Amino acid sequence: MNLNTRTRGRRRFIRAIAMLLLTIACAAPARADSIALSPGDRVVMLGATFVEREVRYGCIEAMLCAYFQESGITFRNLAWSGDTVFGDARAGFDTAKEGYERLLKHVDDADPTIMLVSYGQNESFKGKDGLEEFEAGMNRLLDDLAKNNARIVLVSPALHENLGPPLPDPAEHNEDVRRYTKAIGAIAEKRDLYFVDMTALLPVTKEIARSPRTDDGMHFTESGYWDVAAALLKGLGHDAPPPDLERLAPLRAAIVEKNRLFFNVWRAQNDTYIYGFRKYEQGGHAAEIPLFLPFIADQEKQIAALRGELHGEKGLNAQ
Amino acid sequence: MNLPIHVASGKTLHDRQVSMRPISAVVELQRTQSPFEGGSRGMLALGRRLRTLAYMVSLASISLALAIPAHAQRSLLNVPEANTEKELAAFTVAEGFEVNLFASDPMIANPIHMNWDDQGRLWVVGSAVYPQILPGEPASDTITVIEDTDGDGVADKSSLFAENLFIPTGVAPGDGGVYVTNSTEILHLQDTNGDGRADRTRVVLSGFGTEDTHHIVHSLRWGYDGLLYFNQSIYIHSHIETPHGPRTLNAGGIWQFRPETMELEVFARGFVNPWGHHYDEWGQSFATDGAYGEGINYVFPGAAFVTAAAIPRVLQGLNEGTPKHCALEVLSGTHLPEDWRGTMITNDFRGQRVCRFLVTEQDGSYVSVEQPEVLRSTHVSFRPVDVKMGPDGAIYIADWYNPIIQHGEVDFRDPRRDHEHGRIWRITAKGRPLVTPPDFDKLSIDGLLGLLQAPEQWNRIHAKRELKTRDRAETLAALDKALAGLDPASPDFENARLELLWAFETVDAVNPKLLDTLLASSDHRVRTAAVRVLSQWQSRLHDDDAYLDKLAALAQDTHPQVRIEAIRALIRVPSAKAADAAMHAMDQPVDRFLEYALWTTMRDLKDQWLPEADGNRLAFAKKSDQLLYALKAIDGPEAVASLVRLYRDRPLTAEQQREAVTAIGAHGDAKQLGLAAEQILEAKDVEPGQRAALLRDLVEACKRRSVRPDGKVSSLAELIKNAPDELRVAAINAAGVWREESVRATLESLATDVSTASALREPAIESLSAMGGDSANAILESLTKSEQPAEIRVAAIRALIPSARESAAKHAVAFLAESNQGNPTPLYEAFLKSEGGIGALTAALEGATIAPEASKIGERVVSSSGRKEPEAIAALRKAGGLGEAPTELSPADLAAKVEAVRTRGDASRGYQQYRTLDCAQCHSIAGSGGNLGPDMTSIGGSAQVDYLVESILFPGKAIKEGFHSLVVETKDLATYSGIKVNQTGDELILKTATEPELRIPLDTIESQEDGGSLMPVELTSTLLEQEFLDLVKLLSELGRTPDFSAGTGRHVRTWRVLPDTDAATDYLYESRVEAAIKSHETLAWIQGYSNVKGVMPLEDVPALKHSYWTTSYSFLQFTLESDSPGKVALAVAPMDGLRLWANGKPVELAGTILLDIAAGATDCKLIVDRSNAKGNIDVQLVGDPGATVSAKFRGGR
Repeated sequence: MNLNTRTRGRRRFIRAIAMLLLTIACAAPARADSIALSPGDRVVMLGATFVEREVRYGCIEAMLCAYFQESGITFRNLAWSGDTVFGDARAGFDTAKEGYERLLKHVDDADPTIMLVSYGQNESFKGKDGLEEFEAGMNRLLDDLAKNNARIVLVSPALHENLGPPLPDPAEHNEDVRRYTKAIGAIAEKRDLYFVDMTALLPVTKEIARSPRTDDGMHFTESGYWDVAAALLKGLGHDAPPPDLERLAPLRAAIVEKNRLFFNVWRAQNDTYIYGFRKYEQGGHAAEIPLFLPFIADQEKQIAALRGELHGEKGLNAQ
Repeated sequence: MNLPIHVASGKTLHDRQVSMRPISAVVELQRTQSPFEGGSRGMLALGRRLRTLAYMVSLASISLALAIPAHAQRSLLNVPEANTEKELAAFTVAEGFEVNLFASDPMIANPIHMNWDDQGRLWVVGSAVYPQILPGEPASDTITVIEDTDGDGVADKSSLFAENLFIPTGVAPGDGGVYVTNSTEILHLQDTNGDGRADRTRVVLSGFGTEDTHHIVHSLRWGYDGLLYFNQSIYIHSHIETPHGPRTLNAGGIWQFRPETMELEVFARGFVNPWGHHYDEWGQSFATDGAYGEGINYVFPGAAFVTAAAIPRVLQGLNEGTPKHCALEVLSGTHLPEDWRGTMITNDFRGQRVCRFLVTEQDGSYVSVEQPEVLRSTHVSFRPVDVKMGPDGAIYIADWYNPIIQHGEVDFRDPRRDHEHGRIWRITAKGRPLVTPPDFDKLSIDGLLGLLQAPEQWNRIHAKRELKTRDRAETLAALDKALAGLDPASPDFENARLELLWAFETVDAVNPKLLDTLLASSDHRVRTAAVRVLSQWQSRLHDDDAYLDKLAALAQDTHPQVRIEAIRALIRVPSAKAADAAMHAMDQPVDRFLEYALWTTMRDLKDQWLPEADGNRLAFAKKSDQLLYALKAIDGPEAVASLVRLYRDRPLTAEQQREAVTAIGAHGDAKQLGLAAEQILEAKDVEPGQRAALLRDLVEACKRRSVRPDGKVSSLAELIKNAPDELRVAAINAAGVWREESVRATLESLATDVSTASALREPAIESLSAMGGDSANAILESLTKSEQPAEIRVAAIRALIPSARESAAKHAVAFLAESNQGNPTPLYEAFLKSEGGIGALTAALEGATIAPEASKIGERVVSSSGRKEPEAIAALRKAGGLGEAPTELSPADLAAKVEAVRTRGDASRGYQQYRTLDCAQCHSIAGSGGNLGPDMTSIGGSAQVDYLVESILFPGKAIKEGFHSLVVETKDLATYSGIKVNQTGDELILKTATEPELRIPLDTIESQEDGGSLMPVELTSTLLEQEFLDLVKLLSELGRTPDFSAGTGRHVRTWRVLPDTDAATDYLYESRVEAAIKSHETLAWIQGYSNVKGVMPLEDVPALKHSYWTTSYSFLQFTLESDSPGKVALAVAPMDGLRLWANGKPVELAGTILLDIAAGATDCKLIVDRSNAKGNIDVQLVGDPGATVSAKFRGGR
């Protein structure tokens, strides 16, 4: 079932106009110096825990909403803990191959115009030996994602911080994160894709971090995600002064609620009974899932209104 | 689309809204300290829900205006009123104990899990969102903290700690806050400003699956070692990222986690719903399963249990055939009587019982014996789901309070689901003083260390955890001092040293000296626990070689439990050396736990040792039996080359040869199979029976895997002509499976020769079919004619199906039209199995008439295949003149049936129907019966009558988890259906009506489809209305009413009985009655089952009477099983008229019988003189001081 039919047509129209204008405006080089979001953009975020936890915090979306003032930009977070370019965390009862197909379907259903794709963290634990396999997997994924005709931004994994014992010293593992990041950068280069290097934007030292962004060296805290969001914005080619987080709070709360509702749609609980091999028992409740959509639409309206309020005050970053 | 809920939802949803706790809480709250916390939240939640409702009704009603609220009628059922006084009155409590209400709604609602903190407060999680969140509904589940401030045993204070959770199923206070499971996450919540509410949230782990909300991560518990343990259930797939790398657990299992280091590991795998896990005072783990009937399970690191993903062999629990259990608590503390301490409590939440088990260790194995119930209720909403010892030494039971406990089987929005009530019950020993809980906060480090020998395990755990918050240097100094101060003469010396070792582990400080001392302890339990610590400190203490050397010695310890632990610890340094050290354990006796540890270890280490299997470096590889064992454990193609060499080049026993050939057959390639085939065919010096068996093993594997050996098999012709019959049959089968053209002519003449025995003609027919070709088809056609014997006709029709299914179907219909043609089941099975077969049969039945009996059998075979073949069933019924099959009961009819069961059903008569229909062929009661269908032991406690009625009439409507069939089509166009047991890297394992373990190679599978239920529809069509009502009544009382509950006794429940046949009677007359003790071909024993109470009614046992005998006799046998040799105590009733033999030796019947048994199986036979025996037969294991081992009776079917 395509959960986005209601808005898909309208977005396609806006996008077509935007593309037309863009084509007229300039014969743009294949690889942009920066990535800007425009009206009609549907941003899809893809990856593993690093991206998935943003669902709970909403910092990246809030930051981008605050920076790009135009209306009509929406976000869908399709990350899945433990995921890889092979989609194996999405396999569930099925094979990794079906998990991968599911990943592509998730993306397809969300109908992106731009994708932030961040893989490599889990894969990097295989070290040097796993690099070739990862590159092949990443290339296959990018080949398959190309059919969505969306702009693709590759985002590297982040380095681990040293929080001191008893947590592990990440120095050795960070070598692998850098190795994989370099590979992602090379793939981006080769494919003329925009690349955001989180290892450079969120540098770490070998010493014990004094004001850490993570709570275990690896997973970002809420305030850590603000740093991630700022780094991402910078990585996308935009220099912006730090926003007033207090003023962003209502917007962020609305985003988090939208994320929660959407999570209950595409990651519905009990999916064994609703869609899976026991659907003959509770499959009727699959019809409840689309009933989330009006709530999501409401929430998007509220997000739009809150953005309007922010930008009505001449934009968050204009002060 | 069936969506009754939303139209009915007007009521359903509304009910759920107004019943939400905070609303009523505002009105009713009297004891709660801060009522307004709940109130505002409740109003918010209500608002959201009303909005949800408005949307759902407006959107859903468009398509649903005509839908009928199918379940609305079900609310006619009597769901008893929630009244704590009446619930108290419905309890029966163990003698010497009493029960009181500690807390109930509105303080708590539907409590799922609870844990105490070090201030004596009880943290409780519950969920109103469960089972499935409504669109737009907030995640509003709660953690409530409740407290008994005045010590009167009743909670008088409660506060809401958190209220924005999403189906929290586990809670564990600790580390300055509380850990709580939250669907995909484990959170740590803290109250940083002291207002009693969580204000800081940290996501500790995320990535847990939520494929089923009663399977999500649960059962949080702090370990004796300072680690946090939690479990997940069968449908969950979890992928967790940690700084140490990603961790994956698919299906059930137990996780082990150290929060401060973020080290996360899988401790054990498997289980359906492992809702209980606890450990004894020596650190050995035990688990219970809420959807599997094996009682207490002994768990060691890396052990795998039923449902473990991709593991072909699993361990069994200690109480096979018990009801399913939820939660587990090992009892301790001075408040309880001495004989209760160390026993384990778990809950039969279906049967409304709180159960207790006595678990004792015996030479590395454990024996678990159920004791009389702690608590039992007749109230259907009493759902004990958690049990914990309290700080006052009493036992606390969380009562989820719900008449509905099924997850998938009952609609998520069923109005009978309770979303507002819940209780915590408190059980105390009458007249015994309570425990005064320590104030951990105020205790000095020395004071805390003093608690490490507290009789209450709870105090020990908290004391160790509290140490983590104290000054590290002081703590370590105090630990050293405490160690020096222990009195070696004290009886608790060994346990005290172990607790100190665990204290070092809890504060994460290695102490190699203490560890070495304890590895050399005189007490094997301490050595075992120390090995586990050694494995956890491995990387910090030793280089790899030193570690392996240490463990190699421990793997040869005098005690098997130490050996088990050492074998498992060896995998920390994966190496051939580790494998060799582990296999040394085979030089000593091996029981089932040790054997399993070894099996799984040799698999874990296969990449390291297999390359050296044929060299000289591995000591075990020089011993044929040990090498064979290890190669078999690998169970994969990589081991075959070594297996072939072993089979060809080394002397093996007959049994070992078969094991080797079977293992080669399972995974060998064509060349390897050819080598094995040659070896069998050329081994003329091997006894023909053995050669036949080897050939059968190999051919069976080739057939299953659709592979043909590459090699010389022409000597088959010689065998088919001249070998003894058994080998001839095997060779005939081989010729067909291997398509050996050189023997075609021989097979043709065998198949057509009427003077040849059918036993040779039938395989020849099958082999011709496999070889195919026009001449074969012509022969098969000719053999379907009515002048041929029935079995030849059946064989020929079956053989025709793959090549000429229409023709085969025509012949089949002609055959089925004749009466008295014998059992047509194999015919139907063949049509089902072959591609297009059942369609061809359906077409041929059009306009035909077949015998009604054949039609009924056909319907049963087709419907119980799990496949959906409505056309075939309709055609069979029509041809047999049976009329149309019923499809559904109207709500009114269902309600009428339910009412009729209630008022007119008789459970005792129903039991007769249970036997008549042979329900035990697929269903078990207390471990006795088959396992193709759900266990019935306490079905009455969990299933509502409407569900039972519909499940019997329409088995496919709701199917219990784990009982969905899978229909598998293979590349050679065969179809199999059965229940998936497991899937390994290269095989799918099904259990089917005929085979407990059907292995299908994955690479032969063309497609897999979910099938329906394997239960035949219209199984009950032969029953009269009253008989049907009686049967349902029985099921509704099983495990719920005393007369139909299995109880805790260990009776013989599965028997073999001798049916009354002339051949048997004549033989026993001629050779005297006692000849029945030995086996003989005329004695065709059949299965028999005791009744629910474990007693075999004499009237159900066949009585054999010869005209020259003055009395009639009955003959029964049963099997005792034990892990080790020794004495068991048996009680046999009645004594008069019974004689007992054990392994062929007579046993004197007088009082309690102390029987000497060997390890393994002991066959027992009873001869009953029917003129002297009075009363029903009851054989049970009893407790007796003279018994030295515990055994169990073999169950199953």
